[in-house]
Amino acid sequence: MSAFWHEWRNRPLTGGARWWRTTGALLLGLAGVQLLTGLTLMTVYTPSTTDAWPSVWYIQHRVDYGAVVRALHYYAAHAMIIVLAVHLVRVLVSGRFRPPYHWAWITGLLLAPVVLMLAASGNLLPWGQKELGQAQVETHIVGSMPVLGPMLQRLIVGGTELGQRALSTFFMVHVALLPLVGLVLGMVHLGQISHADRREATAAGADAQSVAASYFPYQSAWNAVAFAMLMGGLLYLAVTRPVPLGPPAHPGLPNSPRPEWYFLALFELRRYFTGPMEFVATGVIPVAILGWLILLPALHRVMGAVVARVLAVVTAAVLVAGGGLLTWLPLQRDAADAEHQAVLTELERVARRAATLAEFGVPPAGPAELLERDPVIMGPILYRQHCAACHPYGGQWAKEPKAADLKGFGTEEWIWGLVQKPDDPRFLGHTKHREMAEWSQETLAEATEDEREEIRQAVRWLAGHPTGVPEEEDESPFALGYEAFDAWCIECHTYEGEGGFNVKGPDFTGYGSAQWIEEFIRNPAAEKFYGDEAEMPAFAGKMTDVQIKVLARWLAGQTDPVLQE
Amino acid sequence: MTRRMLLALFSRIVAAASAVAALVPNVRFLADPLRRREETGPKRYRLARLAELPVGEPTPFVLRGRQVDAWKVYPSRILGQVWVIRDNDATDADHARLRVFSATCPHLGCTVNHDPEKRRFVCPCHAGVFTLDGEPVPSKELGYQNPVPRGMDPLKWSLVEDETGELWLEVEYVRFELGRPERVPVA
Repeated sequence: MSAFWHEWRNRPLTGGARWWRTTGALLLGLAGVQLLTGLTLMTVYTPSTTDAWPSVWYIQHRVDYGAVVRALHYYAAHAMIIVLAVHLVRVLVSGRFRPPYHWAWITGLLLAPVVLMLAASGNLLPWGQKELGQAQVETHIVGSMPVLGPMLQRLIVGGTELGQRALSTFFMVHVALLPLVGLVLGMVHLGQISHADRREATAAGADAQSVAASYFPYQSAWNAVAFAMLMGGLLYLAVTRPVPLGPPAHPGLPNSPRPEWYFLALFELRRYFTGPMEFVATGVIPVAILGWLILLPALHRVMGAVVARVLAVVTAAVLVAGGGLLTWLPLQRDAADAEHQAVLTELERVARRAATLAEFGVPPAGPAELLERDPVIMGPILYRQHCAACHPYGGQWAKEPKAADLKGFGTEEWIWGLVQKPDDPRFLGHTKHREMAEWSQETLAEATEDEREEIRQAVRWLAGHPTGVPEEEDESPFALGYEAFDAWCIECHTYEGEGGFNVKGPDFTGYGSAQWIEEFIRNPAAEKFYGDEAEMPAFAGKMTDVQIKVLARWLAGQTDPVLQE
Repeated sequence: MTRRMLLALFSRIVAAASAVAALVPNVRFLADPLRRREETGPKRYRLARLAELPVGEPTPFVLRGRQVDAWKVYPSRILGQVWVIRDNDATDADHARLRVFSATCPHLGCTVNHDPEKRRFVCPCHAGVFTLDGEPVPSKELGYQNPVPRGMDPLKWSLVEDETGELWLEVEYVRFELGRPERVPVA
């Protein structure tokens, strides 16, 4: 090892120290950062579908400097891909792929997919909604490759569906297999460069042992400065821009997966190769590019230095321009895609809320359970799934409204709106219930100013989800509200077992509370609600108990998660 | 010299045999996903009362059921989503006409959405587009290559009477291999 190190640092530096020669050292330094931060993260991170997201949340929000280490690992990964691309273009343009550097060139090229696979495998580890969607598409792309594809997909996924075994496999690949392969290839790469530098120097007739021209410390000084600047940049990013943590994976959440930026060009290529030609975009083209690059040293031998050099520069230009364009196109398209943006906004909303919920602890059943029981996250999702076919919400979501708009249901403003205009499409206008409209036209329209104020009082009282009956001499607002209700509403609406003498409207005991809404959703045709007059179907059995509770709480404006009983 | 060569050969063979002996169980272990068969076959789901389904409007349904993930068992998990279109307002089993499609895009498995303005099913991942009959929209019409290998997967459905005499829509949910022109159930 020390002999290797000695060889490496004392190799001749033909052509002198240069800024642009620091890219290789930067990659080595970044690999070191990844090894260090990766090992550190591993002391907390847990590769389990129920614990992955919570452990990353814990790193991010609880562990001292957790957010910084995670961000360093994240930004260094992206930096590595960028520096790798610069390194590749630099070597291409400077012609250092030619003999005696050709073997180093090939091992270097093989390191490129290792770095990309490290990024792709690490990406899945938080087991978030976005990352799971990406992995789903990526593993299916692997599976759609001819011949070996399906088998490879099964091995990676650990079965037919992404689950615990896929996460364990990705973890092993990310923390052990790829780093080992990278380490071995990297050592070989360095040894080959060292060897080639000596041959180059001997061929040029320079004194290989001359201290003045050795790699260390002349180029090393530049490397150290370049790496210090890069490290400074990474630390600055890590401290000032924490890496966001998306929502945990939950099959009930929407998704609109896009690959990370380094795969966007391949994603875009798939638009032009479809059907049986698909694997051309994600299989043939990347392999062909790699193959062409590997062949460049041979071309140098066959066609001469000048032709090879020109080809290399053209290749670099095509790769940079083509890759850039293919990355830019989908970014432009997505920026203008309202639906895609809406999904991203929704996922951000869920992510923020999930992070808040995690403050109170994540149940052992995992973060999906946390989401499932939260009115804030699941309320609107369940509403759109189960209610929005008939009930609009704030004028939205229902294409053909057939029932009341439930935004603000049970609030004073909502009830007073209904009392004044029951026939409004916001309230009972779409339904067959006409009794309330008749009452409004006959009774409310004829009421004096004082009487209207009394009805208003009953409404205010109802908005408090009342239960219980006041004592005789009670003169509290609650008692006054009860009296107003008793005077104006009791004919049709029951309360605590009284009323409903005329027409039978819904029972108002606890009206608008989560409990009331929950019972109503379970069975609107229950005797205490609409009985035979119910138009809305019963949801007991169609939705789970937890779902109905969550939805009811959300409609009642409550935010507390439904806890396990 | 022969003695030396013999010993060298001997040590190589013994070492190689040991390596193979160590390798075999590991290879078998790693190949386990290839041998594993998950419980498959169609599963029946009761979705909704026929009378409740809107006519002509695609309605999404989420299917929940028991899911086994290696050693973890989830009693009620979202397993898939389907789109149901009721074609006429007939309320008897003989005349009611429905179309039921799996919402899993046959391209790469994303969940297909419904675009009510264009009256099309659209996949958010690679912009695959289907008609309300589940057929791929021709690329010419889209102005770009429709990436889908086949139409949306239709599912078998039936109308089943409950105790009260009401008709319920029941669906047999099957997952199909992705990315192929033909429909092969996942085994």
